[in-house]
Amino acid sequence: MVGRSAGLRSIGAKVTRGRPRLGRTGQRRLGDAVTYAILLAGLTFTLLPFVWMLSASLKPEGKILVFPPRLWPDPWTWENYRYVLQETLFPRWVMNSLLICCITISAHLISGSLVAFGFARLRFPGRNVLFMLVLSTMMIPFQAYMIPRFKIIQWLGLLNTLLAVVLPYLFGSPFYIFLMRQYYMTLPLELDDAARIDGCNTFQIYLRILLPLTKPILATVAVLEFLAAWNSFLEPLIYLNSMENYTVSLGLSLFRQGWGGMIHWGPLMASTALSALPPLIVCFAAQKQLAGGIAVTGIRG
Amino acid sequence: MSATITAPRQRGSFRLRLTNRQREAVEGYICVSPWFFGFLIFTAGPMLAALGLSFTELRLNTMPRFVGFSNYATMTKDPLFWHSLAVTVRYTAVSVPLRLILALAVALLMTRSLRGIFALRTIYYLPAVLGGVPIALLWMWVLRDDYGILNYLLGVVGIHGPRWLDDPSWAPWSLVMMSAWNFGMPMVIFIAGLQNIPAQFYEAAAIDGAGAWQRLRHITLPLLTPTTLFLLVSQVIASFQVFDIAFIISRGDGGPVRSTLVYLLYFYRQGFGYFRFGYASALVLVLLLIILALTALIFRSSSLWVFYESEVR
Repeated sequence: MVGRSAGLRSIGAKVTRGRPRLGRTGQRRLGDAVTYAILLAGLTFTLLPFVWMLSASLKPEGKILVFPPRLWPDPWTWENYRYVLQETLFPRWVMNSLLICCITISAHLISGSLVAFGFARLRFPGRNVLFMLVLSTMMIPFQAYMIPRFKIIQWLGLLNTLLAVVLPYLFGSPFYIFLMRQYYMTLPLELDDAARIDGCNTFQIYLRILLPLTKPILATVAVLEFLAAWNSFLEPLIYLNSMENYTVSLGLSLFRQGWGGMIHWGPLMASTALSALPPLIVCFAAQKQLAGGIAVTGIRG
Repeated sequence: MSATITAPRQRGSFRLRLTNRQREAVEGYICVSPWFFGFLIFTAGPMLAALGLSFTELRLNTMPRFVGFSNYATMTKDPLFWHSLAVTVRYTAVSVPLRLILALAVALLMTRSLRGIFALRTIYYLPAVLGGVPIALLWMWVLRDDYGILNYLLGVVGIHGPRWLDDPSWAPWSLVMMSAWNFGMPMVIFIAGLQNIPAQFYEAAAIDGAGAWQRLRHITLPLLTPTTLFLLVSQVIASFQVFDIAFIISRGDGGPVRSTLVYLLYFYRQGFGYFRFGYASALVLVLLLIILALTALIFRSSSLWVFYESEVR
């Protein structure tokens, strides 16, 4: 019943034509129904935390911690959202996170694509060795060099600035370089030759001929980097220490600490919902780009 | 080669007289230089520095003092090092198989051509775009022992739910639950792997009279082993680096009673709680070695269970 394509189904039908077995379609219908049932049951598991979060975020203060728990907020209120957006630094944290996202996305698109172009299109001694270095650093977790990196940022006097969070990512990062390089490799070399005959130099080939053709992978990189930068936690955590410089993730962890000796679940869930919103929108709106990232990362074994 | 094509170009905008090949090399170096300098300053340099620091004692604002292998020796006698390693290994051993099995099961159902399957796929993928912080917060709210929805639902079917977040023997399970919930990424990769299995295998099997179970057992699973290998390696690596969710549910201290003190959280506390940078560097390098060794081990074992179509046995 698994992984069948349309081709298989027609073959199966041909085979059964010889010895008619009633209920072949019935069996498939049953299979479909069971599949739906399981998948819809699984949805509960996936969606329950989201629904439960929204429910809490829309309840007034006194109605959140009640037993038995009630899913439907009654009465319904936007108070928690108003509080988070007007009386806390949350909007500021959103702006910080967005700023960081914009800067790192631009950096990856500009310097990353240039580097990828170099690796894919130009021949120079040591190219393969350098590319192997790119690949191998893809595997090394950031924590392995986090302390010296922190020391460098400290030495540069950038601690507690947003620049600290973006600076190491202005030079392109291995995964995106790899992604874009693979894409460049699929473009025919004749393009470069034709452009060269027409009098383009290397950088014009990059800028005018190839870059416009790589838009799909640039979009993928932008989407992946948006998610990565928006969700990043550990790195901002070590660099940033005053509240007005926090990113959204750090701000959330601050809400989690609670105040007055307790966690305020209404505002906490409202801010969690707000912070989850941009990634969720991206997930719906940019499916093709997300899938593009997954397709290139070498899933084929 | 292309040199013959570009040879007539004698205009030479460079003052220097370079052959086409040399010029291409120079341009190549210019192109990759942004990455190269970033790599030297922010990755390779710090990597080597971390190695060096692991042989020193270094506090927040002091100069590093060389102490030889003392940090590594301390580690072998540090009960919290062993404890955090054990917490992480247990977490990995449970959560990675659980995630992969869930992902595979759902992926198998997802490859049936059903109406609305793409919408379902997207919804199942949703948790994968969230960061660790919102995931942990969502689940803390679901798992609250008194007013949480999970224990209420368990109560409805007659089970007295545990104190998920406050009981040291259950807190690690809440971490496992958070990670199991987040199976969208392996699911999508399994779906891609399933779609790469050529249909003629199933056609041949159907003609030979193989049932659904036999097709799964003898075609799908063997042909999916390269995908599984890739996922196993990447998930084990990621799982050893678990940090955000443990940090959030325990307020950064690994509680209750250190039951969620995962390795990186211990590293973070040593490095940025007590500012023992030398010792923390040693800790993280040991983690790197463990991850490398595990990856190598999984790859070595792959000849026993991974099946490649092109392979000749």
